[in-house]
Amino acid sequence: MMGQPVLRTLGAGLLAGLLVAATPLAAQQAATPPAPVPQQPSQDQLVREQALPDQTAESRAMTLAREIRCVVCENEPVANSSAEIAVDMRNAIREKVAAGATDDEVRAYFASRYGEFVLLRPRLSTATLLLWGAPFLLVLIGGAALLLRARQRPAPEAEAADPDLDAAARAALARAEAARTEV
Amino acid sequence: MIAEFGHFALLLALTASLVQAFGGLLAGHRMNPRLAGLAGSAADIALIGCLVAFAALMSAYIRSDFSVANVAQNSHTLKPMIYKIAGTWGNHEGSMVLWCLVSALFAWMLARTPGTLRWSLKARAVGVQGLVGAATLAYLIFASNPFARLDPAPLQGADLNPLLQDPALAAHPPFLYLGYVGSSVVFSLAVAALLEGRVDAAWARWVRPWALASWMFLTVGIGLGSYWAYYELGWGGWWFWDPVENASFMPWLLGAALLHSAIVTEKRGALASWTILLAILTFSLALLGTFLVRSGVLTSVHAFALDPERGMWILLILAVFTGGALALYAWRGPSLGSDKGLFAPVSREGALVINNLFLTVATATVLVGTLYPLAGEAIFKQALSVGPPYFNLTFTPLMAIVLVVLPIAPFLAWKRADLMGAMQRLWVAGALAAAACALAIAFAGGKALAAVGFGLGVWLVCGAIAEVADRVKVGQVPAAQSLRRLGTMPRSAWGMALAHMGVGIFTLGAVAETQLRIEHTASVPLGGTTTFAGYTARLENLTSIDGPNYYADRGTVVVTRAGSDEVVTLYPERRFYPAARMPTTEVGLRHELLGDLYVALGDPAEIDGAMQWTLRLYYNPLVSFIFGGVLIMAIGGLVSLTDRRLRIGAPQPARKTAGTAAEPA
Repeated sequence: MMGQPVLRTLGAGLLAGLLVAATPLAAQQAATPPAPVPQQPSQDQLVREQALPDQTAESRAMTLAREIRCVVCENEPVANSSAEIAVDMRNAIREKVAAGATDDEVRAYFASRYGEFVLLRPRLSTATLLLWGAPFLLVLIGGAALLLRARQRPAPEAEAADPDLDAAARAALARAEAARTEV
Repeated sequence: MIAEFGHFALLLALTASLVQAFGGLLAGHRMNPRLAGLAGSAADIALIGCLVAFAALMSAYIRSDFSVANVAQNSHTLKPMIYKIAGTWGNHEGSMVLWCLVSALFAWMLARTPGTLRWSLKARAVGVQGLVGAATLAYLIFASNPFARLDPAPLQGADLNPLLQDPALAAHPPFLYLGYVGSSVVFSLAVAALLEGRVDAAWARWVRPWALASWMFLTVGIGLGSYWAYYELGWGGWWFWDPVENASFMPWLLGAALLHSAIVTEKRGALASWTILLAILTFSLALLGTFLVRSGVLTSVHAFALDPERGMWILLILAVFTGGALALYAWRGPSLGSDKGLFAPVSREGALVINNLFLTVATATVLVGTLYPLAGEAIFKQALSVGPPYFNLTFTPLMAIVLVVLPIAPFLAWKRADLMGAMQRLWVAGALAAAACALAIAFAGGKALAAVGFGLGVWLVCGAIAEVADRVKVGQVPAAQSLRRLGTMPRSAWGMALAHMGVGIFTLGAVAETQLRIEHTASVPLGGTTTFAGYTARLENLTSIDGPNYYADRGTVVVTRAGSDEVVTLYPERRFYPAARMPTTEVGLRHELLGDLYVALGDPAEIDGAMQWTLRLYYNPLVSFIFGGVLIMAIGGLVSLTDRRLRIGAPQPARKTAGTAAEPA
C-alpha cells in the first residue's frame, strides 16, 4: 500500500494543524500586544459598558466572556446575557485583561469568586480528568478493539457466501438488483 | 364533549397498541400469520385513535376552549390562528400526543407496506413498535393528560410562551418527533431481528429507508431550531452546546453512523451486529434527549416544559426499552453469526468503519460533556459547568477527522481498495482545498483554525463534485455520454453526493461565522450613530407598535457602508407580551449570500439626562451557508429516499416465487 504513508502524513499534518488551531488563545497571548489604537472621538456614549480601546485586548476579553457563565442565567455565558450582573462581570473581565492578567488568571479570579461552576471550560483537575480524557480514551479503546478484531480475522480471500440468507430474501434481492438500472 | 371524546380515543389507542404488541410478538413466537393479521388491524385502530385524539385537542385550541386545562395554560384568544394550531404541539402534553400520533402512523406504515421482509420479522417489529406506542400512550394518559378539564373555566388563557410564537419553531417539534419516532421504528426492526435470531441483507434494506427518513427529519428539525435561535435569541449565535440542543444532536450523530453501517450490512453483509447496536442506541439517545429536555435535571437556556415527576416516567421507559434491548443484544447478538463480509483495512468498508468509530466517539463525547455536570455533582460534590469551549476542543477535532476521510470513501472499492488510486482521482479537490487554506491564511489574519476549516470545507464540496464527475467519467468519454450517464445516475448516488456537499457547505459557513464574526455593542441616543467594521449605523427612529397579542418598540436603524451607496434599513424590535408578561427581541436582519447584517435593540437607559438605547450589531459572514448546508444535507436524504430500491412499498416485480415470502393478511 503506497497510499497509506501519504494519507498518514496528510492526517498527521492536519492533526498537528488542528492542535495548533485549537489554541488560538495561546497564540494570541504570545503575540506582542500592538500599540494601542488612538481612540476616535465618536458619538458613542456607553452606558454601563465601554469596550477596551485595544482591539486585540477587547476580542480577548470577549472570548473569555464567552467561556464564563452568567451566574443568574440559565446556562448562558456572560457574553450573551443582558442581565445586570453579566454586564458587571464583562466589565470585570475587561478590567483584568487591561491590567495585564493572563487568561488563566482571569479564569482563576472568577472561579475563586463564584466557584468552578462559572467556568464553561472546566479546569483540569481530578474531578474533570475523566471529562477531558474521555474522547482520547474512547478513540483508543475503539481503535484497539478494531485492531484486535482485524487481527483475529483471516485475510479476505474469497467472496464469503451467506448461507443464512434465506432463499426468499435472496431471490427478492436479486430481483431488485436486476430491476435497478445500474449505470 | 369533544375533549372527552379525545380522551376516550387515547384509551382506545392504548388498548389497540397493547393488542398490536401482543399479536405481533406472539405471531413471531408461534409462527402464526393470523396473529400478525391481528396486529395489523390493531395498528389501524391505534392510528385512528391517535388521529381522533390529536384532532380533538387541535379543535380545543382552535376554539380556545379554556375549560381544557392544557388550552387554558398555553393559549389565548388573541393569539394568531397559526399559533393556535401550532399551540397544539407547543406544550408538553400536546407534543406527546403528536409523538403518539407519529408513532402510530409509523407502526401502521410498517404493518401495511408490502415488501420483501420476512413476515414473521415484520410481525415482531410491528409488535415491538406497539410496545413503544403503548408505553408513550400510557405515559400520556396517566402522567400528562392533555384533556384534563378546568372547572370553572377561566375566561382567558395564559398564552403560549412568546418565544415559541414563531414559524420556524412551530414546525420544529413535528420534524424532531418524526425523527425521534422514526428511530423507534429502526429500534423495533433491530429488536425484531434479535428475537428472530437472524440479520441479513433484506433486513438492512428495510432498515435503511427508516434510518434515512429519521435522520433527514432530525436534520430539518435541528436546522429549524438552530435558525430560530439565531434570529430570535438576539445574540447572533446559532449553536450554544446547550443540553437541550445536544439532546437532539446526539441521536442525529449516531443516526448518521447507523446510516453508514447499515449500508455496509446491506451491501456486504458485514457489521450486522454493530448496526443492530447502533439502532438500539440511537433510539435510546432519542429517549434520553426527551428525558433531559422534559425533566429539567440539567439547566438549559431552552427549558420550556419541566416536571421532575414526568422525568421519572421517561427514565423508566428509557430503562425498560434500552435495558431490555441491550440485554437481548447481549444474549442474542453473539449468535447472530452474520458478520460474513470480510474486508481489508483499506476498503470502502474500512473507511465506513473509521466513520463509525469517530462518529460514535463524537456522540459519546457530547454525551459525556452533557451529563458530566451531574456526575461532578454526585461523585465529586463539585458544581461544574461544561460549555462550548469543551465541545469546541473535543468534538470539533473528532469530526474534522471524519470530514478528512469522507471524500475519499466513495472512491474506495468494496473489500480491498487502492488508496493511491483514490487519491489520484481526488487530486483536483485536494489542490483546491490547499489553495483555500492558503487564501484563508492570507486573508483571515492568520487564524489557523479558520484556514484549516476553510480547507476542509472546500475539500468536502470539491470531493462531492469529483465523485459525481468520476461516476459519469468526465473527460474519459465524450461529453454527450457523460451527460447521459448523469441522467441515469441512481438517486441514491445523487443523494449521497448532495448530503456530503451539504456537510462541506455547512462547514464553510460554520467556520466563517465562528471565526470571522464581527460584533459591536454601543449605546446611542435617538439620531445617534456608531461605526463598526466599515459600517455606520444610525438609530433613526423609534416607534411604538401594537401587535395582535403584544406591544413593541420598533427601532429604525439605517446602516451605510463606507465607499458604497447602499443603504440598508433594519427594524429591530423589543416586544412585550402582556399575557405571558415576557419581553422578547426581534432582530433586524439582512440576509445576503456572503453574510448577514444583524441588529438587536437592547434596553434603554438614561445617561446625562438623555435616553440612550443599546444596539448590538453583528456582521455574520456566510451564515446562509450554515443553514443552506443543513438544508442540502436534508435534501440529499430526501433524494436518496426516493431511490427506487429504497422506497418503502415500491412495486416489486413478480413476488410469490417462494412460499416463505407470503404476506400476512
